[in-house]
Amino acid sequence: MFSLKGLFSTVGISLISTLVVSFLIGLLQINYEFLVVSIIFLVTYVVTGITAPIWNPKTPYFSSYLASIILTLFNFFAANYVLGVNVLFNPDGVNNSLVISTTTSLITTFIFLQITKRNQVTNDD
Amino acid sequence: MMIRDTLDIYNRNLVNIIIVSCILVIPVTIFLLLAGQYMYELNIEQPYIPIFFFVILNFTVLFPPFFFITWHDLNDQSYQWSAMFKAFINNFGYIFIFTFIFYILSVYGSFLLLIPTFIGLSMILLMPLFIQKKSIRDSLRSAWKVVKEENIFILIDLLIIVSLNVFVWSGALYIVQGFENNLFFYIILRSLINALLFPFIYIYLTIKYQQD
Repeated sequence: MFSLKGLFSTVGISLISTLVVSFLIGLLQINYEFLVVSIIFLVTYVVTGITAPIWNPKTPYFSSYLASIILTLFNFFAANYVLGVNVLFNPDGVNNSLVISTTTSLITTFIFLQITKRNQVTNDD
Repeated sequence: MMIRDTLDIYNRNLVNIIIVSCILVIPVTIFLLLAGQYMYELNIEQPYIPIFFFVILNFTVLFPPFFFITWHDLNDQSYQWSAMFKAFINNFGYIFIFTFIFYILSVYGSFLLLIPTFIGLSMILLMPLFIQKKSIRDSLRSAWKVVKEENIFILIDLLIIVSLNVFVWSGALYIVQGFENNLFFYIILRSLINALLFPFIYIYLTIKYQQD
């Protein structure tokens, strides 16, 4: 069964990790823009991909897909209303961000599930 | 009667409450108030809507660890030390998203004679009380049942919370009146007051509205 509460927990944990990592980056004063953006991006969606199977063991891929889409929509919302960047005027950018974020978290979920499966097999033996 | 129970539970779990206050309440409050200050410095149309959202989020997001403590105290169960932080992390997303939804509802529904505002604020107040239910539908349904039973009297609780905050805040400002204060001083004072006040409010609400 798909549990909505688990999905929201996944979203919350990746939000918390994003906040903590961006706070650390601000504290360490890293000024390379590309590095900062890619670190925050990777941390957010890799954490989403890892934590999605924990609360939704039956439907891990769907959960990580939905969680990354919710996070991307939050990003659009914040960019539109807070930072004043008109993201939705650029369809290529929207397409790119949706595709890259979902594929990152799906690949992470795949790798994580393979590793846990292998661990279970070795533990059973 | 209810206040005595609140003080009893507060005294019994004093160490855990102080730990949660130092590790969670103070940093979260400082972070959210700084976020509000950042919103104020941006040139957006109505900066007070997101700032007030952060103030409300500050209240609701910190509810689960104290609810966890009170719930285990009322049922005479023991728990691990780290389970309080786990309760905070696990329920963060659920409470964040539903506070967001009800806040949007109450802000943009205010032209309908403030009825959606009242319903949204009472749901925001009551929703974190039912986090231990299995599914989201169950917890929202129990919160909605309490809203239907108590309807206008939830406003009194809201009034108690707001007036207690204002009372302690004005007293603290009266003490530090003569100093040269800046923004960071006010933020730190606010976080200390939150660490002092919030546990009482959370334990009071949990005892009052948690029937089963």
